[in-house]
Amino acid sequence: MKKYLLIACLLFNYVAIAEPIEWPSYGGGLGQSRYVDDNSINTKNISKLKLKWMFQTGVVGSFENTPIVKDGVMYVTTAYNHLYALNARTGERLWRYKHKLGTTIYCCGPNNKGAAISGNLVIMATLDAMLVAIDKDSGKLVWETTIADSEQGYSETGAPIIYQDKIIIGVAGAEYGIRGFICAYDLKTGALIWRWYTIPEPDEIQPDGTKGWNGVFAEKADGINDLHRDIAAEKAAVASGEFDNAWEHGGGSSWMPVTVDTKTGIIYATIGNPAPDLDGSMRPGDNRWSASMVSLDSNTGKMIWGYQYLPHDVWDLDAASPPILTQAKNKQGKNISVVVHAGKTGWVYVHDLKTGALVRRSDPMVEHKNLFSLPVPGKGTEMLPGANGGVNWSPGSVDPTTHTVFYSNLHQPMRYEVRSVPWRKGRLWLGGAFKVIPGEKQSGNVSAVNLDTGKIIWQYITEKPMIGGTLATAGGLMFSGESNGYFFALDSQTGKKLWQFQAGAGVNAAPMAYRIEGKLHIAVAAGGNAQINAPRGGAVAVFTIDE
Amino acid sequence: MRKLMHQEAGQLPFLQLMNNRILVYFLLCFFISTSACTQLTKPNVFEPSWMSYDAAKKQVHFELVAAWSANNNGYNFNGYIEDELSINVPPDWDVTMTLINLDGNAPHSIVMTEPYTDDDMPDELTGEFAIFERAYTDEAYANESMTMSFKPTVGDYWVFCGVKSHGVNGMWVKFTVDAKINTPMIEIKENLLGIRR
Repeated sequence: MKKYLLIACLLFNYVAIAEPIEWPSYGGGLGQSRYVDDNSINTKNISKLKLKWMFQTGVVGSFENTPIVKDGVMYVTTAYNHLYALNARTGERLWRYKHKLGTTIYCCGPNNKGAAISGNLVIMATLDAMLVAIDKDSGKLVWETTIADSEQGYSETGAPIIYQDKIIIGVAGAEYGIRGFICAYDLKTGALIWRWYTIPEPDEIQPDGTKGWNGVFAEKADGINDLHRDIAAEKAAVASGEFDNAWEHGGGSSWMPVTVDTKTGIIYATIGNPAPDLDGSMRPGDNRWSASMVSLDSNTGKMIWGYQYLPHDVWDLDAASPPILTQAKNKQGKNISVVVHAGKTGWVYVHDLKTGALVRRSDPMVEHKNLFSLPVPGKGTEMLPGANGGVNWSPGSVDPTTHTVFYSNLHQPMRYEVRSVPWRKGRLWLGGAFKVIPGEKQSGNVSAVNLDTGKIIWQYITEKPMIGGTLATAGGLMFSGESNGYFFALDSQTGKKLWQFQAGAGVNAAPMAYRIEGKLHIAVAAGGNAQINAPRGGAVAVFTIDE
Repeated sequence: MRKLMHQEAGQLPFLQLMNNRILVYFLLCFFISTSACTQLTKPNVFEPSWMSYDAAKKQVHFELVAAWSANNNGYNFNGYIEDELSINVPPDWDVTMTLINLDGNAPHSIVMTEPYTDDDMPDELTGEFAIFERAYTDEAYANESMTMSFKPTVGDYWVFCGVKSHGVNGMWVKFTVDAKINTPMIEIKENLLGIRR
């Protein structure tokens, strides 16, 4: 009997191991945990991890892509909207699609985060604010649709998310005074199903009963940190009527992929900065739902709850890094479902999934200095974090077995200066400038944070600011990359570096993993970054233990 | 009186000729000098701290800081944009420009170009489109500096940021090679705030 049980167990294990692990969406699953439940590559054998293949896209730009893998094919998007299909086992190119770009206006590089796949369609969003559907086998265009007017500054740099029969995506362009939104398109036809504007109209009733985008004139961030607002002056400005139409150009991009709870069909999304970024005098009030996390009904786009991290943000410390769905302890010590976000503020926020209530905020992962200080007219103010964060767009990952999240951070001292300028169509509209401080050292870190306590477990310090993202595995590993070209693995419990590979260009993209023919593969894009001037290239590197 | 003067002059024809020449020279010198003084004494025409030159060698150096101020979202050179600043140099001078970028969020560059209209202004420009040989810099990122040297010919030009969309967003200033001046100088619009003098 024991013998049969043993055979059954071995057979079960074999089947379990042999089963492919796919990565069909930007964050892996729609919960964006970026965790791969496979321990075949682990702290003991990581030294044997070797390059399996490398694919040169030939597109040298800013490479922020996380590849997706489905049915043994890897799909890679590059700067300027090239889309490649590769054999995930060998790296052989199957086809390439190049989107013919129209007018493009974008702030921070010709980036694209990735594609999505469902059925026979691969979906990519483009710099000229279009959505294209490509046949997964032939690489031919099936349909395309315009999301928004790119001449106004709307653009798409994020990855679409497919849930059931819908493509869900936000939009970028707050630096040009767009009015942000999240929308859903029909997967088969490309027809618009719904659109939810991140910046509400004046008479729109919000889930908390307030109207429009003025909010409650919150004086503190998270009820803790003074935002130094002149509430009386803001209320007077609202009453004057001078800024009645400011919401029309109120910004609030949702420029990173949304997260979906497949059990409930609820979408979770991070919303970016208000417009103009630095000049709050032109937009009195809380400027909801900029710098927020929101949840929406995926069927209708109706808003369920919102949590605003920075009411009336004037530092461009927006919410970008994608929400992560996982479990963590509540204040009473009970495991609950949570949605996690790490902000440019450098804090990790843990929210109750159902209500959006803040369960806890972590210790700061980066230095805070003069936090939320207001620029002095003509002089500005020096503040940390700088406008890139903290955590910029970089996706984090979570080890659900230990309730630990891993985030890439930047340390960039900056001087904020304000100068009012009127909105002009398609023109940059920051309302001031972010200036570096000569001689001030910049750096980065990867931080491991315990979601149950908010405490930092360890930090891995890097010479350059970190933009890219992380991947966690059941093998006790955390993968990430640096601007100097090193792709590395840390012990996820201690932060000790166990392995590294020099990729030849900045590794400023979030890694992913897939299992094919029983072997776990780790993949990452190495092509640098325009925003932090990491050395450019255009390669996808794939690693495995081949023995 | 008129008669007397005529008589005196008539007595000394050589002197009269000399006097006329001296008078012409004097008037010419006076005109040029007062004209130059008037130019330099105007509050908006001056030799700024970010310019240095050697008149004997006919060499001038300009230091241009991108994002010197918050003007135009930081898309400025020493705080100036568009026609707020005109950099003027005499002909046959060697010009060197150093670009320093303080912008925390964007690279900037310099490409010497012809002046554009709103309709024909390019969205971005690389060095191959510079109007003088080697009159461009690569993109300078935060805290980086780039230097370029060139010898311009008489005419009107622009100092243009070639990074995508920066020029059309106003990140250019005027540059003139003017045969009527002997030394480099700049001219700015009046009542500007946050500029580098």
